[in-house]
Amino acid sequence: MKILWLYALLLRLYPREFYDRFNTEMVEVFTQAWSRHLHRRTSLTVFCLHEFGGLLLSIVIEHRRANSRFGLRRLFRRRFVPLWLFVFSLGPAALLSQSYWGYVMVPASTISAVSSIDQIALVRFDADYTPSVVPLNAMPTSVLSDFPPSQILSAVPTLLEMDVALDPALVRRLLAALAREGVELGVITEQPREPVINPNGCGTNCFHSGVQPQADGSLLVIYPEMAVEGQPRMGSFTQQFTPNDPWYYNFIIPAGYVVQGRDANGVPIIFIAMAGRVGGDRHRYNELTFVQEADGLTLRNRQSYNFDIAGIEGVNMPVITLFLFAPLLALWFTIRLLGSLMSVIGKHVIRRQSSA
Amino acid sequence: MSPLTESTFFILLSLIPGARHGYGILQDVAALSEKRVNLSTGTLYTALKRLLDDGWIEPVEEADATRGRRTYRLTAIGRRIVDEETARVTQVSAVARRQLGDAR
Repeated sequence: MKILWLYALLLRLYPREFYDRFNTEMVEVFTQAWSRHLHRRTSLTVFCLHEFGGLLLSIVIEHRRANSRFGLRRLFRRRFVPLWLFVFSLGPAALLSQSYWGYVMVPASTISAVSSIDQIALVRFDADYTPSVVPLNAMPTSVLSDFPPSQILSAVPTLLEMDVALDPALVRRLLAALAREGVELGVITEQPREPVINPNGCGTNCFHSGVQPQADGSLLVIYPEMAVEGQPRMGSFTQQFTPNDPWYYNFIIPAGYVVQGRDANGVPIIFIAMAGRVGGDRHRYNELTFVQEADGLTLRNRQSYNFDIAGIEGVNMPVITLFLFAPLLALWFTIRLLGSLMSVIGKHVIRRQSSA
Repeated sequence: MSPLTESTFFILLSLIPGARHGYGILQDVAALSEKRVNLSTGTLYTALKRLLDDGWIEPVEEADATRGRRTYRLTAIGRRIVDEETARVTQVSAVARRQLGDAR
């Protein structure tokens, strides 16, 4: 029985998973084959070449297969279908996010390019895009996490005086540079928009206001009347906001930061963060870094995207992925369930036919 | 689907009548192929593992499975594969016969 011992020993050469799964059976089958060989008195050489040759070939194949466990072929098996569905959901979600918001994942702020900050100012951009300094405490939304420029504050290493007036010469150079880059700040409403009320009634979701800048710098905001108990009521009321009102900047006024500082090499740079509007579900956001040179500002870096504050700030792509993946996964499980059901029914029918 | 290897096809065919244990499959394959296909124990289990992983066959839980007498049977997928391969072989055979007949 040394040959059985040798065979059992050689089985140890299989990959662990294969060995654990089949070694008992294989010893049993080999024992039966050996008994048959003894009974029939066939050639020992032929038997050994056949069995041990086949064993070694099989060991090599199994090791190759085990090594390619994470190979492409394995990935196309049924168990990996949910993984592929997830991957297929990622693609359209990324495309949609890129086309609608301008990013797959919200990019990190480029404020990190500024190694040392000399001056930082929170500004509003007027209709002609002239920046004017706004007291930080006058724009409460500037510290809200869903207002991208507010993220700049956390990057400021030291507490600086924010209410410092901007140098008029710098403002002129800035305007020239912004005009050259064709920066879109978003629509600044000059005329009040028509109030919109969904005739079916939709609560606060159908709330749209019109904003009209006034000659004295205030904003006239026109609200439609809210739907009451699902019944739309036509009409509107107005409210005037001055720059001293905390919600003044919540309307169509673009705002952001003008940061003056130096890069890692000590080169003087200007960093601009601009939100097309502070409020709204989706607004244009720009970050521009200029190098200060003798004859003006030269663009070094720019990133622009549409920031969404409709509850999925910065995670648009993962959220869309889940919305696509969930129904696909449900469809897959339904198909699997139906397949299993049909298999069971098929087996039952075959069994009945066999017994008949 | 790519054509099955001869040994895979005969293993699946051996399970058509019902569940078989490893040694039974070895004997059936040899008998069905008129001893053209003689599987060793090692190559048999390499083939069985692949068929199990692909879901074409499945083990039948029995009381003496722990003593190395586990039996295997075709799944619905395996049965469909056998039917498709049989249809393919039949078609190839028909074409070959027709061509040979024409040649004669």
